[in-house]
Amino acid sequence: MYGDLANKLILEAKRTQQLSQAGFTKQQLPTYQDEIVRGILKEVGSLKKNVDYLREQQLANQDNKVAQCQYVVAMLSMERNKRCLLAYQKMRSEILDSMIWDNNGMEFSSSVSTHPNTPSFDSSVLSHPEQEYLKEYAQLLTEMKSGELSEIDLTGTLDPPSDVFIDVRVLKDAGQIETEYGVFNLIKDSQFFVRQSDVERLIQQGYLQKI
Amino acid sequence: MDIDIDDILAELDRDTTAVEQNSSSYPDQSDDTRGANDLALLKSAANTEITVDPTSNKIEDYQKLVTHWRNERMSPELLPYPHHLMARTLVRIQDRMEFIETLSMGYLEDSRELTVDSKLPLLCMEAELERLKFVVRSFIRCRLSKIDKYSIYLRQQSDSPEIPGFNRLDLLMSKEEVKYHMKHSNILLKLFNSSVLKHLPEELQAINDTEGSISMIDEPDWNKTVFILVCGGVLDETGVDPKLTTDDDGKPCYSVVIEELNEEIYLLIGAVYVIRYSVIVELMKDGRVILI
Amino acid sequence: MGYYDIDDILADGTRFPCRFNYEIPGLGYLEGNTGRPISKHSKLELPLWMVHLLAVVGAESGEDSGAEEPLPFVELLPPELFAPRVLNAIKSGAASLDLHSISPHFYTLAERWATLFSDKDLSQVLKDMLLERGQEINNYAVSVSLFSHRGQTNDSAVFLQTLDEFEKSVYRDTNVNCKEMKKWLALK
Repeated sequence: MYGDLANKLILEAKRTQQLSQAGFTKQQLPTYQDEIVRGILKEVGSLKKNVDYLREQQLANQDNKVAQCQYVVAMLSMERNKRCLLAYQKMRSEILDSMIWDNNGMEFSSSVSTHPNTPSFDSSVLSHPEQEYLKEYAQLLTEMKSGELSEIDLTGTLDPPSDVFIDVRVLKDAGQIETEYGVFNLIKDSQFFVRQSDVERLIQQGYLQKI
Repeated sequence: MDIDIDDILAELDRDTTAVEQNSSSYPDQSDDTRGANDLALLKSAANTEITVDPTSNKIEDYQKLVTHWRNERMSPELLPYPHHLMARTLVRIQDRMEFIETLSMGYLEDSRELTVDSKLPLLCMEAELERLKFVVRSFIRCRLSKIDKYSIYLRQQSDSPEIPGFNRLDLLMSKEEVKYHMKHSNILLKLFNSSVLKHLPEELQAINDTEGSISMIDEPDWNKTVFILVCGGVLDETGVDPKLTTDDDGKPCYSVVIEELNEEIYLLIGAVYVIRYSVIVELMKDGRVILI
Repeated sequence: MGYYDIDDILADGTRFPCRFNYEIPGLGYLEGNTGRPISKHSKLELPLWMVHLLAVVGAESGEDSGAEEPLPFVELLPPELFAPRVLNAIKSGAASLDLHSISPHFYTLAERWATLFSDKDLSQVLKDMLLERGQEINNYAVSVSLFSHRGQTNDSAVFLQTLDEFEKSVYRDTNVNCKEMKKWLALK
């Protein structure tokens, strides 16, 4: 029946939403359901043909209840399909947005990661328009961060700062990290007593853990 | 806590020339951007050089910023951007960062043995700066997320200017936010168009269609329930609060009307209420009531 | 609520029983019989997004058929969802009811139905139910975060499965809030 494919897509969107709420979409999205989307668009195409035909019928015969009913059903089905398609796309775009905010747009400029041990993002799960959107939004964010707001570091942590200096433990090997106040050798399980603002970025990326 | 730090910092301040001594021409108290002065205010904010008036109280500004931050987080709609307050705050942040840098350079060159104690003023300044940066960051991020959420609704608001050549959004948002809004809605529309809309028949290609069963434009929830604290204290030129009345017991309060119940209620000064946003929105924008 | 809200869209897909007031050829596929017309008075289950308009819109006649209003294409019949059996089960034991099995979008649908038919009784039942179940949700959410280090016990997992989508989001919010509160108090 009309709208069944759309329901499938929405269930997929719901699944994605649940993954996102559980925190599994920080680095990865489920694959774009190109086939289902195209199927729905085809369905809309054939509904449109029905609608055009029915409109002609209505003009010819005002009192045609049958045509009116069929017309309403076809229009509602088209609207339903449109709504499902857009909701699916919006859900995915919102997850892409939060990925960029969390990761500071760093690893997405190329699909090859520049930092060792960083899981590289697989952009084949995105459709072409989505890949473009990702690039453009990352660029927009970089622009926002420079300018008069550069000092406050828009993508910085949203946890209130507690102490100036904190104990951190290294979770992953990351070689040498140079900060403004010295060079640190990040070896797994070693601990450091450092200024919180320096290492905020590394904590966000998962290299360090605050103790 | 803040006041103690400020004492320490005032000691240091006397030795440096970080703060400009020029007086500025813009008004200090009003970050209220409504009314007939809007156009003039906007022009002044755009044209005058941003210098910090030393008489503007740092502590008061900080408290105002925190109130704005709190209100913004709790409110369902995007509140007007406090242009002047933010400009002063950002300048202060910039100045303080430079100041700390010069100070710590001084420490590095110093060959005396440094203990944590002797670096205490520096640490205090850094801690305070981090806290301020955090508040600003959280404030801006909250606003950006609302701009994203109500993107089409805001677009609609800007499409009907009351004064030609004057974009209402310029008052509501900072320059950067307006840019962000425009660019983000453009690239998002491009995404929707290329993946869905352009493949649909003509009559379904709109993104802001309100004719169908459900309106495509998401509006803020005006009936959202919020917690408020009635603080009052907003006086006009004659030193009197025009909205203040007294209830049957003679206690000072504000009177509001709940439309659905057709009931008038009194909000006592100093009390906390749980109430619909639409009922108190005017009072909040005046500053007589804050969201908590 | 919202055009893009996934739960709203899913709720709209719920099927409701209805009866056709006219014979409409070409819509046989709705019944599963493509090619055959839907006969007058035939009963079938249609999704809410289709029914809510068909139940309101009627056939417009070209001729003046007197003072009679055109009959809507479809008439909504009382669904199982809000049958007396269900309402009684709610009234007698809301807290232990398996709401998910009745409908995963019970609250949303009940709100819509009550608004459509100005059903005051239904909205009263709904309010009382929310109050009772809300306390139960609160109990589980708070105890899970405070007393169980592993995050979830068997009881709470079973309880979660009986909640509908709206209640699940309430549970989630309560849980998260509790954990954050605990963390903040520990800092002090």
